[in-house]
Amino acid sequence: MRKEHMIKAAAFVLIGLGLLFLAGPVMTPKNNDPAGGIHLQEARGILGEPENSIDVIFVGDSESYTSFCPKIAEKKYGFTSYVCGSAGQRLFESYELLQEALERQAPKAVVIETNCIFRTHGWIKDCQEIADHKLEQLFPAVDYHDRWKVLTASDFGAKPLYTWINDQKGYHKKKGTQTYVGDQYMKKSRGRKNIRPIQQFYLNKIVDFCQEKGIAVVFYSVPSPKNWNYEKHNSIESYAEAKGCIFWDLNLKTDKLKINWKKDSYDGGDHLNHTGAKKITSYMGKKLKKKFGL
Amino acid sequence: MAYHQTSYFLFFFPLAVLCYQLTPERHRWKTLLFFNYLFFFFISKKLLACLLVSSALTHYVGLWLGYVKARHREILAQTAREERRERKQSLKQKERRIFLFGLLVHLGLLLFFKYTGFLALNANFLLGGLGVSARFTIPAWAAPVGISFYTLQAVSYLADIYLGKMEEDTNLGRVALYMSFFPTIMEGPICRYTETARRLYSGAPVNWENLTRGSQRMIWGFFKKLVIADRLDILVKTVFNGYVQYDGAVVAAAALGYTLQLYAEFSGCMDIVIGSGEVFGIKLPENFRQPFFSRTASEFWTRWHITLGAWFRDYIFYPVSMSGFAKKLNRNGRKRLGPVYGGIPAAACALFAVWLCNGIWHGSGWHYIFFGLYYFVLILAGNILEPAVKEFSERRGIDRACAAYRMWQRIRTFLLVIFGELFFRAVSLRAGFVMAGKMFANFLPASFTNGTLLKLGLDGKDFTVAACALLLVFVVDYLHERGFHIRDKVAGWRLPLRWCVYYGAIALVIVFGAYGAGYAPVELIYAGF
Repeated sequence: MRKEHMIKAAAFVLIGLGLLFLAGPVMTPKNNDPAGGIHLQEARGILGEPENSIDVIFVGDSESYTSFCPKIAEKKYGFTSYVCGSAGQRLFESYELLQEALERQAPKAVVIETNCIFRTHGWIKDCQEIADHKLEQLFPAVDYHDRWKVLTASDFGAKPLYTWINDQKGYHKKKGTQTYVGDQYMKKSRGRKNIRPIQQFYLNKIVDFCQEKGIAVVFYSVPSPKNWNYEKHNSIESYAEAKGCIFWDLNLKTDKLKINWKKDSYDGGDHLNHTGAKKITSYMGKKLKKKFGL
Repeated sequence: MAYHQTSYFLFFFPLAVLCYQLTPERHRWKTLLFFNYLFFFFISKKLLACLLVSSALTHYVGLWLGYVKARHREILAQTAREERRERKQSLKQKERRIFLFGLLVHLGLLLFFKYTGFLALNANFLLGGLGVSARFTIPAWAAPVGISFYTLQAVSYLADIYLGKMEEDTNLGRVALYMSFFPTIMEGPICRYTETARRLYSGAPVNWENLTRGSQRMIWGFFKKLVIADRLDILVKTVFNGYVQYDGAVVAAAALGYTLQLYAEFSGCMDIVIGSGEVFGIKLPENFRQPFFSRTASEFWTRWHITLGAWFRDYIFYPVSMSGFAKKLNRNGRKRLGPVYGGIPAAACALFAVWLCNGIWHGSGWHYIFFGLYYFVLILAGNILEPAVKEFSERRGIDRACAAYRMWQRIRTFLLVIFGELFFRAVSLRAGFVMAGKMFANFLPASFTNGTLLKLGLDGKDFTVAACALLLVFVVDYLHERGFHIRDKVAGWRLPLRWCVYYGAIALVIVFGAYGAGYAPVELIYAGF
């Protein structure tokens, strides 16, 4: 190819990227309410909370938002919290949500539910997902392309203003009951479940990011026979120790917490229902209050 | 990774093109081969070994065949004329055995990976019927990506050497490239050795014209795949997976939706594939030629998945038609049924073989076999009825060449295609019959007007986008049918206008594509076959 052609190709790509970049503010949701079309809307309810009003922020996958109820914690222990959890949350999403949340909040602690640390679709797909995510971050017009359906004149020129407040503070109340019928799942072991390099990379970023801001990082594992085991416990324990973080594995405290697997799960030991969540909230609330003087 | 994903068109493909271009010309084929295997590895991981085995097998059986054929030519040249015919037949037997060895190993691999589960399931059903308690375990292994496609390419390579249509290639690298070219590995087109191998190996540089024309074609493919096919998939999946709760009108809408989805998906993917090849300067064979303008079912298959139809024609229809059995049947048929209908029994045998194989090739399920045999019946019925229809038309003074009659033929063929696709997409043969039954016994036209269609995952705006996009595809197809090629026209425009068109097309894909949050990823349909 001649030099002239290379310049032409580069110009075409650069102009295209420029146009795409300029379209970003138009396509970006202008509010975090349900009509606005923002992604991970319930987790992003935190963007509408008053500045510096949240004491503890939770992140993680569905285990996080079905196990801790901020309203109960506030009523019982007097501190405010928000669960920025989302279904199948990946660590790069946790990192992004935390970055957004910490722009206006200065919590004492960030609590990471550990199940998402082991979520992987294989390194190839993980890399693809991260690349797509980066692209969407860089070009919001791609991420929010589907907002053409709700686009109005006000989308041209208006700046985002997040006003929606999530009453449940990110918590998902699950009412049903399905008994877990398996054996004792936390069998003592010396083995470890490796944290994959990609997950480790984002976990380090989250921990470093929080610690740089003077925010304590707490890892906690929600009782879940379907997802948790001693090998995972060992890995997180070592990691938390190495990074100077706290780790509370509630899977080892099911007797103390009085978790009843006949009543406290809504899907046979995968997630907790509201009865189970109340027990976790009480335990975690008490521990957090004591530890951080909330 | 798949052709419509960002990992392909933003990372893998540009990187492959860049590395290819930066490699010295005589080593470019190695770079291409590396990216072929890398692409395969990304999708099928260690099953890459299957492709390597198939490529090596194809190459060495080809060499063996070539060597034996050359040796036989020498022997025949030294054989006395009167003994030559007999000798030739015995030598041909040996060549046939070598060819059959290569064929059976390839088909064995295909059978093992693709059909073991289906065979075990049916064997268990039979055993159950016979009251035997023993059962086969249903395997759950994955098949290497594109095994159905590269197997056919391997067989065509060996068959062409066996039939003396071409010489064997002594270069393993060239055979490996032919078997694994990454743009074609997932969905074809099914290439012939003489069409692509030498060009792939030549290491011709990427030039400006190829780059721009290939990219244009890829954008058009993304438009069809992401704006139409992936949007319609939402409706199609909802109805076909939950068919029990819908009436015949909704089923008919879903069958139409699936037919259009499949066309947009497969032809869109072919645009991406052929465009990718074009960037490397490889002219891949076309797989679609405005199929919905077909006037008969047999014409449809010369316009839809053209390379598969051509493969079955060359390697199944012709060999069966030319077999001793078919020739005898033809002779007897002509004697007993006369010159008009006498050839039909022999043709029916060849057609049956073609359509049975076509059905089986598409997948391991009885609905696929039914789909193949559906076209066998349609085409055979067309052949049988043709003389009678012709006579009737002449007697009634119907002009079969007039526009109205041609339009009627196209609509009829389109409806028959939709009906066939209903079975093709159905989750099982039984489901296909239930759905077809609903279309005739429980057709509620009110479903089109009372908002039922808007409860299937697509809202009014989605339908509007899909309809406009389909209209655009129809217009482009119509212009192609009339011999007018828009790409050539656009390429002649001045740069600012041309770039505006390209940016506009890219913007349409980005904004109206059914991808990202809120949409389930849609795998390439034919990559599963």
